[in-house]
Amino acid sequence: MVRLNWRSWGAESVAFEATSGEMVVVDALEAAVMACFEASPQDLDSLTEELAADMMLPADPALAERIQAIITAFVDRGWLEPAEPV
Amino acid sequence: MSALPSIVPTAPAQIPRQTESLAASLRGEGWRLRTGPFTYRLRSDVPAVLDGLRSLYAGYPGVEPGGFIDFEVEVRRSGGWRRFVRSQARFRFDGTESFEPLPLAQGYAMLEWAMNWCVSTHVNHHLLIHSAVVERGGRALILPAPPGSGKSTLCAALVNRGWRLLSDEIAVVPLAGEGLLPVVRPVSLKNRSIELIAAFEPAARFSRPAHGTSKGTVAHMAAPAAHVARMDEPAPAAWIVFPRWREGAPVSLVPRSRAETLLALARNSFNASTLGEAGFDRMARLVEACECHDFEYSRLDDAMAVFERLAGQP
Repeated sequence: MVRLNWRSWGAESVAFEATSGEMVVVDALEAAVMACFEASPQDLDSLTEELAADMMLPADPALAERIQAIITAFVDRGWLEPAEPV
Repeated sequence: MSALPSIVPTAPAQIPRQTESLAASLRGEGWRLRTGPFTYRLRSDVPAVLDGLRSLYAGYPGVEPGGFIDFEVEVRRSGGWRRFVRSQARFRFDGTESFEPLPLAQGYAMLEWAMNWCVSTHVNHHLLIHSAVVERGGRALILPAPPGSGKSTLCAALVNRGWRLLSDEIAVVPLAGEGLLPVVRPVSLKNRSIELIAAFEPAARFSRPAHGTSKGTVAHMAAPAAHVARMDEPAPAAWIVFPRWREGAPVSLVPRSRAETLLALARNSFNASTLGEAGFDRMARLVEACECHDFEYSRLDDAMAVFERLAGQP
């Protein structure tokens, strides 16, 4: 996973990736997803449960779908990579 | 060119004024000029350059003999047959020709663009943002914007209504420290803006207009002498306002998110990508220290009233 430099203002954050120089505005959920991955690798179910609890959101399929889309976007950007299959 | 050291400001009483003949200096060993932290040695045999410098740079400080020169700039007449047919001005930087030649009458505009280019492409010890900067009450207002947004027109108007000019083109933001460094130079105006500012402030002084440039007709408005005299006084930023002129638009100043402001500063920066993390950190610190707004206007008087209120806020 890349190392990101973060700045946050309320619901909005900016993440800067020094190697590429890429700078991206992310919302609260996107920032939270990235912060969880920065802390430790996660699978979708545990991540959904954790974020639902932290952000007082229902841990439903809609949330899981949003989180999956965020993860996919981060993978496409090269900020995350899938874990090696065990 | 070697690394650019910070220039230690000369005490005001010791600032050497340009006493020697400007024309002789330009033709000979060069006219040494300081604008804020940057020093130039200018050489030229182009009449429009002499004319522009004589009318707009008379009160500027020079550089002590033997003092460090950041940029060696020449704007010369073409040689060969070009001397006789549609004579051109050519820009050389540190002895190397840069830019396409321009008609001789555009020589002064070329010099001003060249001086901006010197800073924007060679200075990497400060964060540089394409922006006008003015100051009032010890607080700086940054006006970042692409060409055509009305930035320079707004800047020229503010400078004639109580705001001090720091720069018309480049915000120079030291990586350490809070104050923005003034780079006080003439304000570049184009086309209708020239007449607009001449009518807005009849006492304003301008260079002779250069017609038919790639930007249309261009003229430069002199920086007020009092602002030139304060070119060593930095000012901390308090506002970042993205201006946009639109025909008939009512004046509006609306808050802008800090995150979007940070991205926009990066887009308008000349060297954020070169500075990497240091540039990101400095831009983020700048954004955190400022109120951020989008501003739209069509009438200068309405715009002045908005900035008057902004300056009056505690």
